[in-house]
Amino acid sequence: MATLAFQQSEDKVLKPIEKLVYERPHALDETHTHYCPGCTHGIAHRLVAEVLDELGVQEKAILVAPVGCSVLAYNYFDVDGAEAAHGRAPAMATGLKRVNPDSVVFTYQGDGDLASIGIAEVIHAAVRGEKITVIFINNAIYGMTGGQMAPTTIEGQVTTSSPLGRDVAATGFPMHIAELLSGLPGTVYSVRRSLHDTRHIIQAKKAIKIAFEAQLQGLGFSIVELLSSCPTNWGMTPTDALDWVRDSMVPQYPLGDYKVVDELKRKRGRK
Amino acid sequence: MAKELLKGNVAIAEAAIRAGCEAYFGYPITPQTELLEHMSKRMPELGRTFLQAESEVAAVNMVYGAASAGVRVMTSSSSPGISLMQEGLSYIAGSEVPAVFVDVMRGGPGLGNIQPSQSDYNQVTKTAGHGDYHPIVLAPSTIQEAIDLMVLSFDLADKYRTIVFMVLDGAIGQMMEPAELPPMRELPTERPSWALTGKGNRDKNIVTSIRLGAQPLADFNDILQEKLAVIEKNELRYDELYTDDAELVIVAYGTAARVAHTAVKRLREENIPVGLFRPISLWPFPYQRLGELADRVPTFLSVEMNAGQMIHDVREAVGRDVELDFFGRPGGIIPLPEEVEDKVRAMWRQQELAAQIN
Amino acid sequence: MAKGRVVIDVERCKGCELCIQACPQDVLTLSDEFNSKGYRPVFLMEHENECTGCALCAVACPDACITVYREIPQKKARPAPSAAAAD
Repeated sequence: MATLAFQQSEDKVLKPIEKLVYERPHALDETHTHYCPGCTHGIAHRLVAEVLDELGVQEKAILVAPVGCSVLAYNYFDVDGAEAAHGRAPAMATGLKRVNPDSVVFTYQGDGDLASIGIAEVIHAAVRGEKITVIFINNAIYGMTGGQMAPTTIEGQVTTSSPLGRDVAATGFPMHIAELLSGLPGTVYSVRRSLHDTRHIIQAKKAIKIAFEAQLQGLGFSIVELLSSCPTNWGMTPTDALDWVRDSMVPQYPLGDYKVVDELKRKRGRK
Repeated sequence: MAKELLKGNVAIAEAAIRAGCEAYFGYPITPQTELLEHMSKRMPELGRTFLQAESEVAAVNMVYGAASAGVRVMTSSSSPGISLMQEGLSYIAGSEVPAVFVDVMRGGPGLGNIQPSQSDYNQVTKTAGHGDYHPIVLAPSTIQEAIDLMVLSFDLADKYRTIVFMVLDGAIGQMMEPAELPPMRELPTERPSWALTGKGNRDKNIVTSIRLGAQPLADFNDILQEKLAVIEKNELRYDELYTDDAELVIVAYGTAARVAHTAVKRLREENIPVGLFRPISLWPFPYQRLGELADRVPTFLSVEMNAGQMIHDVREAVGRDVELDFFGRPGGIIPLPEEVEDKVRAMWRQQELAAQIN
Repeated sequence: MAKGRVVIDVERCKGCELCIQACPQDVLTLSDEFNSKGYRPVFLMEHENECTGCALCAVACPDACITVYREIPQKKARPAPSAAAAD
């Protein structure tokens, strides 16, 4: 993708002096996002778009957006897009993929959408080995409604609906989605990554790419859980919020590969 | 094609396939399950999509997905399942994608029972989900009519990019009658311009029901209402029997209309001037035609297999200056023709008495 | 060390500072000016710790508003059509 800038030298030979090493991915729309400053939704969007570019599948991609902060995600990608009911994105994606088997269908869902109201839909999409890719944003809070307790809120975490901190005896325990879905035969790829620093962002992108490759190979259901920040509702600066992901979320939600089927391992091995 | 003996649910499924249904998503529920079972066999045979969903909630959203892709898609269910689908129905309406629903109604409320009923009149005609809209609702009273209306349902859904419901009760779903299936249609080779298929070389398409600004949502509602007004004008369907000289008109649809039909025939032999008005489109409801009848007919009777749901539309149609009575059997009981006859005889005696006094 | 430069889409930038934290060369800082959304966008400072074009700022950016260029050392930039054909 690199393009070269040229200057004309004295002997009239064109010499490249500068190369483009990073540009905004083509699969992103020109629309400015409505996300708060420092919100890692934007990073996750960018990584997905970079992967769509690299795999050359922007033209056959279909995004199913959730209800939550990323409800308008289809405005930010330059791909066909649908807006599902709360939690139903995997069901809607199932309908889209079954009648468009050559397309690349992905849902982009937050923790309230996927792990709470939509847990049945995502589990059964995985049970069926639905050939879709799920990008799961876990920021341990309901962002759009103003910071209520999510199924992934960690023990003791203060939210507007757990003002004394999450009491697991009364409200249950944080849900571990990547682990949960890894136990289903239809799941071919289930991993957890984090977006709290550049090293982990680069690792997250690699995982997203493998998840889409799993779909392109027709292997089955793939999901990447991304530990993300919500500076506004956590009441932190964007940089402090990333530190909180590292220090508080990562210990609760260990990063790692919970399921990678052999077909994907072999492919990675060849590289 | 010759007539053959067909079971209602199976005939409807096969009619849908022949009308070009490319995808079916559903969940088992009595008394419509034979429809799903027929689809599970035939759709894969034809290389089309069949999927048994994990719930009606998932099924309706799978329908939403496939509808967004611009294929002819349907689901079928029965009353409690339709209740679960209300959310998806509203999103489909808000996105203006075409989808077809078959509701083989059973008794309610709650889990109720699995007997034939017309308990869903309100829930399907009065919006079917939150927001200002109506699906087109068609109500057959025979298996042949169910077949014909099934084909029409897909055509109307595509024409108006709207939801079309065909509502029947377990009696029509489960009975067998001689009927003729339509010829198999060719599937379209192209998707509509608005469909989600991957953008390819065109600009991206978006299917959504969210319009965050107040004015954009108001504008969308205006457009939706304009479309509904066109449907109200163009898609009225009803049938009439002996209404020309009737002095008492029964209003009934579906199985209740079959019962009323028998009663009317017998009562005519007793020289009671009774007629039958049978709405086929429950939405749009034929208010105007019923209102015209009310200019001349002094007495109406709404016969329903519920505690009285359509009667409110009948009242709106006929106005306050005519008599309107109700006979209904909720709970999954099909009224007997004799019961309807007794009710009409009693009403007719009152009417004659009143005429003598005046 | 390679030299680079970054171009910021100032209207898209929300001044979240994640790129500033990610930059190993400490060459990014917030502007004193505001963009039309009211944010202070980031910009590349001109001082001794030069940008290397490593693109980590772009990797960290939630708004995909950073474009990164890196200079190609002149000795490696020999135009060779025959070599290109060999690729």
